[in-house]
Amino acid sequence: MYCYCNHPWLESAPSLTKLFTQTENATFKIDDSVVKAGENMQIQTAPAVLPSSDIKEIGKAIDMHCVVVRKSNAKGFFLFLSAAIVLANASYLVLLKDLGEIELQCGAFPQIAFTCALVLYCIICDKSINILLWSFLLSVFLVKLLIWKRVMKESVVVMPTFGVQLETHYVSGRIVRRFVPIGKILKPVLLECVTPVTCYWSLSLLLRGEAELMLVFKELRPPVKMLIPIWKALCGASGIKEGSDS
Amino acid sequence: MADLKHKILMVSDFFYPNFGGVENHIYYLSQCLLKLGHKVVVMTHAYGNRSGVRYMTGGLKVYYVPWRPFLMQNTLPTVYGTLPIIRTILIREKISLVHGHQAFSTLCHKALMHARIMGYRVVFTDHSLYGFADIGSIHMNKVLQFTLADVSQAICVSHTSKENTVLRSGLPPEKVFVIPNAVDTAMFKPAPERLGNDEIVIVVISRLVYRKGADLLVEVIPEVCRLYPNVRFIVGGDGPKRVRLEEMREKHSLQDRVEMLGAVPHARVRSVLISGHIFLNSSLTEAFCIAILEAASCGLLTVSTRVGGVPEVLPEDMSVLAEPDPSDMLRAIGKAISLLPNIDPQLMHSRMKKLYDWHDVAKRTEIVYDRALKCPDQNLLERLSRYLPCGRWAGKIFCFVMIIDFLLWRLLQLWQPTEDIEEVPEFTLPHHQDDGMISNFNEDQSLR
Repeated sequence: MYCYCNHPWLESAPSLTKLFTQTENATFKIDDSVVKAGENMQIQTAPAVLPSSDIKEIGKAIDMHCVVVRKSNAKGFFLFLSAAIVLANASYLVLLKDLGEIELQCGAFPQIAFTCALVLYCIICDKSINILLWSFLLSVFLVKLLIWKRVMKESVVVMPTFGVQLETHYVSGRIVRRFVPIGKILKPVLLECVTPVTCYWSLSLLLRGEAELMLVFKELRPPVKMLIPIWKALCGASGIKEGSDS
Repeated sequence: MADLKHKILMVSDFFYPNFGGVENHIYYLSQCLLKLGHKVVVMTHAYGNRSGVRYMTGGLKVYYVPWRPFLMQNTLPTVYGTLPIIRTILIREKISLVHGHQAFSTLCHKALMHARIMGYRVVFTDHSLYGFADIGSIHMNKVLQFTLADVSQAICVSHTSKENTVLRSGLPPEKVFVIPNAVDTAMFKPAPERLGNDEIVIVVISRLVYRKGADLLVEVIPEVCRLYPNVRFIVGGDGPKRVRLEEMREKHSLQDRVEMLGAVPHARVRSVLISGHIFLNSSLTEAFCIAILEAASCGLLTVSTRVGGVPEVLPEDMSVLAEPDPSDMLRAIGKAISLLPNIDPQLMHSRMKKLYDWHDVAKRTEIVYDRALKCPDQNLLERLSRYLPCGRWAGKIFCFVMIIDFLLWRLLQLWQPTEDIEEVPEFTLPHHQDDGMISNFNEDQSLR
């Protein structure tokens, strides 16, 4: 297991970036240790290819690479901070209601809209306690929404002569799996991508009979140092010599 | 001096697949600089679905940054929007020098500004002439003054252009170099056999717009046809003034003597040129006319208006110049027809080969780069003092813009430290290079 992190002391700054802009600069860990037969590795399929192999050999054959997002406290802190702001706004409104005044409090970023909605609700229903309830639900919804999209790790499982499984694990526990049979892979490629604000490297698969490239890491943008071993493993698995043009 | 290798970022809104003089200039200059051993990267905006990184012949890397163009292939002038991407490219490509092209490319101005703030040496090339009086020009000149106030060195394509740029931007003349354009003589060769002299063909290839003097053509063509019955015209190009030319053709019933080709793609220009004897250029303003060079390289005698940098382009015996006025042009065409029997296209071509060469342009540009790198490094305060004399209000606004840019840059450095930006590995092309696909692959290899 090897960890990648340039500046441990500056960790909060990149995670901030990640949270707000999605211009990826999160710190990653890479886990390219050979997997010992696991429960979800679909070893049941392997015997067709390797009929008389024992567990150890299967373990050798299956090559798994994980890119794990380093847990940062700053991100969680910001999430709950924004939820707290929503709640605080609501309770402030309740207090205002008691005083018989309605004042628009322009808090942090998305709260303006919510505050407006709350004020409206407050006027229509004239029930102060409901505001608190509603804003609580709203903040739960917000946190849920942000967590739902947060990625814990993405992994590539290379099963020689069989295929490649790409997995995306979300913090919420949701797992998205995509399987690409080995025969469908024309070539794995490392590409440079340009967005209006930054450049990054991405590892993609050229697939037979499909116009678009398939991204190996759907959500994360790990640095190129991590991508190279995975690229090599994919090249090896798909039977393409790294130095030749197919 | 010769072993000093630069890493140059060429920035302009104008690059292939768009076509024109600036695009050609950047491409040929980059190719020749690559041959001299420098590293060249081009940055432009995305064209249609062409965005991302592309490789061209010789490993020339092109960044098509996905900022949408909004007017005449120019990106939206968001002053600070491009700072992060420009910084990323400068760091990941380990650039040492930024070279901007063309005064009306907003991307170029932005890149030069950001690069200056980050302490890079910048060189600017101006490709056109501008007026001083109308609103557009006044605005343009202010922007130019802003960019050029702090530029390390500037390049103009002709002496006229230099004069114009110095007047417009208030740049000290000793900082401005003149490096004329060149022509790819291997691409523009004369016809293998000489054309017969019983019928004389005059070729016009230009966009049919006011600036290129389409109105002059409308008056000159019927007169020439009346005076010389053995003259035929071929007009290539398209534009708003095409209707006027077609009207003229109908009015004087010259359908059989004036052929209108419409837009001619650059690859076909030579085949049109070699079907004629005389090339007619009627531009009203021109910094440096590449069309004349191409025609002369194809062995055509040139008749041109005496405007801008045109008189500097060709030696006197290779062209006939006239004032931009129909009667004088008529006289010049008459003179050209009388000179025609003495013209040898092959001789003209070999002379052009000696006169204009992109390698020579690259070597001269290299000297400018060396000079730029020798410019003393200045801190922000010293640099700001250069903006203040730009104008009573403008100077202060410029200073303010630069200070904000500086702060944003510092913020960006905290946000994404320089060490976090991955540098692109160097790679050398093998000799059997084919095209972009292979070079892309080799780059992957070198990562190992």
